[in-house]
Amino acid sequence: MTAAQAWDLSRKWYGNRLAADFRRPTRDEAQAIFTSVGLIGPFWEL
Amino acid sequence: MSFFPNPDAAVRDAIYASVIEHGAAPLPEEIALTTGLDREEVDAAVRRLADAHLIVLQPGTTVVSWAPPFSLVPTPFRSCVTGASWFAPCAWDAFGIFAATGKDGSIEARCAWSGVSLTCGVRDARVYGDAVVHLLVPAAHFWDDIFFT
Repeated sequence: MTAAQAWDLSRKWYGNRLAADFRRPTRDEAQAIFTSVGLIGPFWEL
Repeated sequence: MSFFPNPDAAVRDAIYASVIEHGAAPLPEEIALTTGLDREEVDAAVRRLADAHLIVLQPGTTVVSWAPPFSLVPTPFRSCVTGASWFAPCAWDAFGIFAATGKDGSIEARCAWSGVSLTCGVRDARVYGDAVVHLLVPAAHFWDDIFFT
């Protein structure tokens, strides 16, 4: 992935990591995050 | 039996607070002091957090190696912000440190193939640099061996 994709992914994956109510994304939510930053195809299938 | 409604959250908060403030993971004894939980409750909570893939432990222990996106052990990826720096488990997480802390900064890393120092980071909440992140393990298998991933 490009640096821009890594940053976009990081913001969505880790942006609320320090929040008191953080919870890990479900499988579907994680897949949606990957797709939203253009990480698609068999390599990114959960 | 714990008197805390959510000991896992209390332990998790204690871990991340220590990482942010001191750049180090607290020992289980320190977590117990911080949270008021007893040592057995801390160990159980730490193992549950690891089982849930929220932290990564040193194998065979309840000592935290990674509280993603932070690594508490040195790695080839270091995220530097004004006045602080943290190691990251991988290049993705190196960007993740800026996302988690809400701070701009630069990444100290080298190209795994050429060894050339990379220039990249986040400025004004926008990425700079032209680094490319290579992952070897497909997403479905990230946690099969997270240290290799």
